[in-house]
Amino acid sequence: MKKLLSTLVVLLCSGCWGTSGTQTTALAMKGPNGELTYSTRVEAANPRLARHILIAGINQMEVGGLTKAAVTLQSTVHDTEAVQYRWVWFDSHGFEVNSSSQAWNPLLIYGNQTTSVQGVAPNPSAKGFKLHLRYQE
Amino acid sequence: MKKLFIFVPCLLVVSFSSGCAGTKVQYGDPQALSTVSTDFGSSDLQQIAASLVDSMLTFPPVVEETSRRRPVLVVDRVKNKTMQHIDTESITDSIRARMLKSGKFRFIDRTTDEQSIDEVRYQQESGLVKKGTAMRFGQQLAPEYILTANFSEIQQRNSDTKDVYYKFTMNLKNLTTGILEWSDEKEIRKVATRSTFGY
Repeated sequence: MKKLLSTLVVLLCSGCWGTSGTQTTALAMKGPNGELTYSTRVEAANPRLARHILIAGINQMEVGGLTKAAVTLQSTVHDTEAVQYRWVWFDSHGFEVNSSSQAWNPLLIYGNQTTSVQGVAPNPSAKGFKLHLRYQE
Repeated sequence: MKKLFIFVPCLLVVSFSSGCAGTKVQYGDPQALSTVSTDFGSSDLQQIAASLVDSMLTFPPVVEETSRRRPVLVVDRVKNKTMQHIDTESITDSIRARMLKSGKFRFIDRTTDEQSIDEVRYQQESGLVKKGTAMRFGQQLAPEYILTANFSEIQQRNSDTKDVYYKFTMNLKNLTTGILEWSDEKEIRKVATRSTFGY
């Protein structure tokens, strides 16, 4: 369970329709040889954002004892999308780590392009993460 | 009766005006993106701190150096080359806090030296502190590295648009060897487009 939790990736996309949005959950599990396999779950409360920006890939590694996460986002539309994202980190017990210090960051995704966002855990206790994604207000 | 005719409308005017003209105060999210103006803002500070600390923590030589021990650092003042009055100490405070939270570094804090000296002097001279437990001068650790930073800005504007480019550069210098061990920069571009009533 701890291993599963430590590699849990949740992408929560909320947009201009209030605080609810599209929630994409990707579960990454380590195989016997250490390889990562993913399964994703999408709960769309904001179908527009879910249609316009796809989760093309999720990656996670450890650097100097700190978890480093990368999520690749793929635009499916011609126009530039102005979104914002925020990382949320969890320890192996599921508690949020540094919940008050994770700020929203602006991100421009150009039409039909792929971009990647990366985050580094604030300290070694953070093992799992979520990426929240929403349209800029 | 005549007084009543004057009093009642006055009361209504006062009650309406006090109700409508009040200032609404509410709490905001300190982590939310602030797009009030192109001036340097809280979101810019948070982005700079997060980006540069992430970069330093994952830079291979720094990873190697911090894997065995926690080096002692000191933070220099930021050279503010922008045209704005910015509390640059607030930026380095955020960077230092994030680095400390990572558990990879230790810091010397020069800003509280005066209080430290007063306290040590008090412990030694007041006669109130047990001799063996009083702190002594000359026992502090010397920093091994210094964090320096430059903050610059380029502004461009025409009749409709104001474009501001910020660049925050940070360096980690080894004080023993003089070698720059790490350096990175965070760029931010903010664009304001004129609306009916200006920027």
